[in-house]
Amino acid sequence: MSTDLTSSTVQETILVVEDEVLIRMVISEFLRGCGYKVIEAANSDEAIIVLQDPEITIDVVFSDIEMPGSMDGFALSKWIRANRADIEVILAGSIPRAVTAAAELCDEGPLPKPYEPQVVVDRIRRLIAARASRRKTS
Amino acid sequence: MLESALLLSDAVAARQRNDAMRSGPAYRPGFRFAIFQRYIALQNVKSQAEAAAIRYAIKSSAGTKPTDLCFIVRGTLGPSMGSAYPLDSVPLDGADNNSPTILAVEDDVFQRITVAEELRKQGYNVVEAANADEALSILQSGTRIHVVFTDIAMPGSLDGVGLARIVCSAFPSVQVILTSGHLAGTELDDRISGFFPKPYDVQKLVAHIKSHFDSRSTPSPSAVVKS
Repeated sequence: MSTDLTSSTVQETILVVEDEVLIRMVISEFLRGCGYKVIEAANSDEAIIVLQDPEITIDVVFSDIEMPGSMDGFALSKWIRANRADIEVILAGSIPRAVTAAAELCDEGPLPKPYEPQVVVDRIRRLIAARASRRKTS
Repeated sequence: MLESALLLSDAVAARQRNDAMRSGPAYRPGFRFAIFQRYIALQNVKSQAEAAAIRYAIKSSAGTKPTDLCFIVRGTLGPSMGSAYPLDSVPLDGADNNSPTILAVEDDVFQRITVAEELRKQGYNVVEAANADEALSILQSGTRIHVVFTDIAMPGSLDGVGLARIVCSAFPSVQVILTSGHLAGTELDDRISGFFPKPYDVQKLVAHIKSHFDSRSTPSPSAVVKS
C-alpha cells in the first residue's frame, strides 16, 4: 500500500450542502464510505451555522448551486471566500449559466450535474492534496 | 433486464475503480446503490427493474430533463445478473448489515449532527433529514429504515407528530421515537415507542434503541414503497 499526500491519519471533513435530500443522502453516504467525515447541511443557512462554529473543522465544502433560501451556492461560496478562505469549495449544478458563473468562483470549475460520486471524490482528493502541498511550501 | 444490468455493472465498475485506488482512504463496500446517470430512458428502467424484482426509486420525471438521480435500492438479483452484489445484503458505510438504520429528523442542524454522529459511533447506520418532508421523501424512496427519531416542533408542512402518524400507518414496522423541548398539548399515539424530552441524553437514546432490537434477534425490514 503506497502512501501519498492524501493519505492521512486525520479524517478530512466534508460539508455537503444540498437541498434535495435523496441526493444529499446518497453523496454523503458515498463520501463516508470513502473514509471522509461528512456533515450534512440542507441549505446555505445551515452550512453557515456549521462553518461559524469554531469547534468544527471543515476541509472541503461540496455545495449545490441552486438552492432555496437566503443564499444559493454562489452566494455561499462568496461568503466562504470572504470569511473562511482556507476552505476548498466544490460547486455542483445543472443550469448552464450557473455553471459558467461557478467557473469563476471555484478553482477547478463546477461539476456539472448529474455527477458521478467517484468524480466528486477524485476532485476532493486533488483539492486536499493541492492544499497540503501549498501549506508545505508556504 | 438489459438496462438494469447496465446500471448494476456501472455501479460494480465504480466500486472496482474505488477498490483499485491506492491513494486516500480506502473505499469500504457498503454504498447503497445509487447511480447518477445521464439520459436514462426511465420507462426502460422501470419495466426492467420490475421484471428483475429490483426495488427502485427514480428521482426525476420522464421527458422533462435528464435523470438527476436513479436510485436503486433493495434489489434481488435475477439469475442473469449473477450473485456479485446482492444489493440488499450490502452493509452500509462499513457498519454491520444487521445494524438498524435510523432516520434522524431534526431541523436544528447542530442537534441533528450531534445525534447522528453519536449514533454512527455506536455502529448504527444513520440517515439525516432536516424536516418531515425530507423524512417522507427518504421513506418513500424505499431506503430501508428501522427507526425514525424525530423532533416534534419543525417548520414545513408536517411536524413530528404528523410525521409519526404517517409512519405508524404507512410503515408499521418502523419504530418511531419522538423528542421535543415542550410536550404541552401533545397526545402521543400508543404506537410511539418512546419520547425523549429535550435536552436528552444520547446514551439513553442509544440504550432505548438497543433494548428494542435486543428483544428481537434481527431487525425486521421496513416497509418499502415504490415511487
